[in-house]
Amino acid sequence: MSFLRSADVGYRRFLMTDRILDIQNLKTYFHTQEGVIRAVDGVYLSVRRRKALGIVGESGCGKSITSLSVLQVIPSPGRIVDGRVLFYPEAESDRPVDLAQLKRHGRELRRIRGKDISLVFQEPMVALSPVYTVGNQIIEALRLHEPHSKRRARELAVEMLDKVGIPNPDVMVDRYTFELSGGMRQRALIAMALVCGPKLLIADEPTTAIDVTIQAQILDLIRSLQTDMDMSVMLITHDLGVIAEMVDDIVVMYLGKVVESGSLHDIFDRASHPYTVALQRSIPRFQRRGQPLEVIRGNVPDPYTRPQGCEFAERCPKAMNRCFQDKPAMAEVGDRHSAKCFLFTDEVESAPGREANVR
Amino acid sequence: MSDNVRQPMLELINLRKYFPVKKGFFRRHVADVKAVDGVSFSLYEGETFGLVGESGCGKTTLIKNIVGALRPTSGQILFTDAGGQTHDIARADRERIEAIRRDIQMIFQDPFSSLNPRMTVQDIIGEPLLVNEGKGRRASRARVAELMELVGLNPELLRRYPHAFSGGQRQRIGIARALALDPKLLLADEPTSALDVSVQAQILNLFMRLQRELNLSYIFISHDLTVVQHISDRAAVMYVGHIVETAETERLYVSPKHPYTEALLSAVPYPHPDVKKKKVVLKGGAADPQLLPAGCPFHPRCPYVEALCSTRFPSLEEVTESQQHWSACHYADSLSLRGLDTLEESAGS
Ligand SMILES: Nc1ncnc2c1ncn2[C@@H]1O[C@H](COP(=O)(O)OP(=O)(O)OP(=O)(O)O)[C@@H](O)[C@H]1O
Ligand SMILES: Nc1ncnc2c1ncn2[C@@H]1O[C@H](COP(=O)(O)OP(=O)(O)OP(=O)(O)O)[C@@H](O)[C@H]1O
Ligand SMILES: [Mg+2]
Ligand SMILES: [Mg+2]
Repeated sequence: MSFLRSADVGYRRFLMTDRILDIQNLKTYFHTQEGVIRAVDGVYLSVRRRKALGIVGESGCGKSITSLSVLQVIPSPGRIVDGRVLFYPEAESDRPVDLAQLKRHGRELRRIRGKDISLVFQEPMVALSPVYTVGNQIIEALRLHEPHSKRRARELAVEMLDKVGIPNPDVMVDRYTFELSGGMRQRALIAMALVCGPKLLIADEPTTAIDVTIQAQILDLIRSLQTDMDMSVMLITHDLGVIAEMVDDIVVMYLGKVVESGSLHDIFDRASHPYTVALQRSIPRFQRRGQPLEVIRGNVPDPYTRPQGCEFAERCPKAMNRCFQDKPAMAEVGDRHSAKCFLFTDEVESAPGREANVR
Repeated sequence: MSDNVRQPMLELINLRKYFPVKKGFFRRHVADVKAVDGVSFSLYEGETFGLVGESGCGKTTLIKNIVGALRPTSGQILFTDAGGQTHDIARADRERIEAIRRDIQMIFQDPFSSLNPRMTVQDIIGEPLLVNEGKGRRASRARVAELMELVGLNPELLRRYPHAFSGGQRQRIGIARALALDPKLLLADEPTSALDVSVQAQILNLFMRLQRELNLSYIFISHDLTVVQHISDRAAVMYVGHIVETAETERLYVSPKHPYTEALLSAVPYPHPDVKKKKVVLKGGAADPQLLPAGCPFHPRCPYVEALCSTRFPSLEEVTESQQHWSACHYADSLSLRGLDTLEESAGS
């Protein structure tokens, strides 16, 4: 009995501490002339070491801004206004670095960026320069962090381009990005992100422009780096097929907040939040050609206004009266599985004033 | 020809587009990237033709030739307009292309960078009307409002800027703009790849509804094979500049006749963790249109390769089993390839 209990405690500690990244109450806002856009509005999530976390959710719900906030590469006028981004580079026993506290253009953050944590941007053309060849950009990324000779760096760049499925890498290394097809640019970007062997890879829609056979190859590469080099992954994609193949844990976001989180199986087999359920129903399936697809009624509200009650209430098939008045708290619906919905709790989300006091 | 033979609205005949590769200080022409290398197909009114294939196989290049944004190296692009007149876009002059462009519009993958952030929605959707018909803001307002309604946008929002819209709404803006001049043919290059599944469902429904209401024809490019099968009447699979298989959509997916199609179908990730599909893993990396092997371009990666494949180029031919099903494989008739049905069964779900 006591053995069981201590094993249980050990397991819990393992879950609690075996994290590489722990985001707490992150808020990233855009102050614009027309008003404040609460792109990320109190996000909690963590990435377990050597595991992959998937982030899914409707376009505009804040997935990219969450991932860009980790390294503070948010487009202006975006700014982190609250919260913590705790990074545990080596082990559980380490003191974490709060990335949100580091200076945006400071040395510390620059050292982490690309080496410890690397980012695959959603839009390859934003991240790639049109005036340098693909190879020069990868070589530069490499030499920024490690003292390789030019020749060695070039070899490594060619090797990496080959691994991400770029044909004839020793020729392509000298091409400019505008000479590449959409999918090849995306692969060049992935090569650049992986070449320094990061501890944490943040990949935002890394394979949307890539066909399925090459996609399978890249996903295999990421998986093998996870086991061989202890890499952890934060993966953003709206392809639930890719999610099903790649990740261990999932968070579902809606309007700047996490509305459900759990293991891969929790979300696929025991989806709890009505939004998660609706999301799964809208995937096209084979053999139903030409028929209308199920959609979630209504649209995401415009970014300047936020509903008083639950963010999803307007569009929710299960909405009750109180959903329009109060915001539900995150409630446990299973072991490490939680959902933010009044179907599972009576509690309301803690008032914004109190959350602000945390810091 | 008898009367009941339908006349295609678009017919590509042996289309080629090569990009020169230049090297060194004098930019010597050393080779060609054969991005599109002898593509032929027809498209009929009111039809959706899906186009899938490896990244870099020439899909975007192909449709850019159709809108006249790129000039083909050789071949014909015959387009029949509403008046029944047929034009060869491949040989048309600038002026003619401008005229044909009203009938043929393109929709891009990226609803973010394809809209000018400094223009209001009204000006974005109204721009083709201004450029082509000289209609200013006031003259085009009613039409813009009508177009917004047509694609499911609230016309009250016409003074907003694009950044105030979500990805799906921005894609609707792009579609409304493409519809401004009453086109007959829309070329959609991955129009839903940047969208999440729920918004993707809305946009696909919109495409299907507009097709019914306006009798539009589509060429629809997507990496998502589930999306292509959902929306297309016929589909084609491309591999380094060539169409390697084309058929009515269901046939193509259920009984593929080219090994590359089988590999593609097997690699589609299934949206449930318990379904592990048996993937056909291809040897080697992606093909390079600059360095094509002799014989069948797919043979170095083909799991069913035979001696003949490395010497003889397979042309696209109708398979014996069914009509209107074409494959560019020497062994199309004898191989028994797995279609989607069997792939998912073997997953045991
Ligand atoms: N540069 C910007 N200026 C103003 N608002 C912005 C900017 N970038 C993003 N936003 C806002 O932040 C919110 C979240 O955007 P984000 O890009 O994180 O969405 P996303 O979940 O990644 O969507 P998608 O699936 O379409 O990529 C959106 O409502 C958007 O309007
Ligand atoms: N301007 C150019 N100069 C040289 N080569 C080019 C140019 N544009 C495209 N290519 C090459 O032509 C080939 C076909 O490119 P294309 O963009 O048509 O591919 P695609 O099928 O649309 O790929 P993706 O699915 O990745 O978008 C590629 O090898 C690409 O590198
Ligand atoms: Mg995004
Ligand atoms: Mg393309």
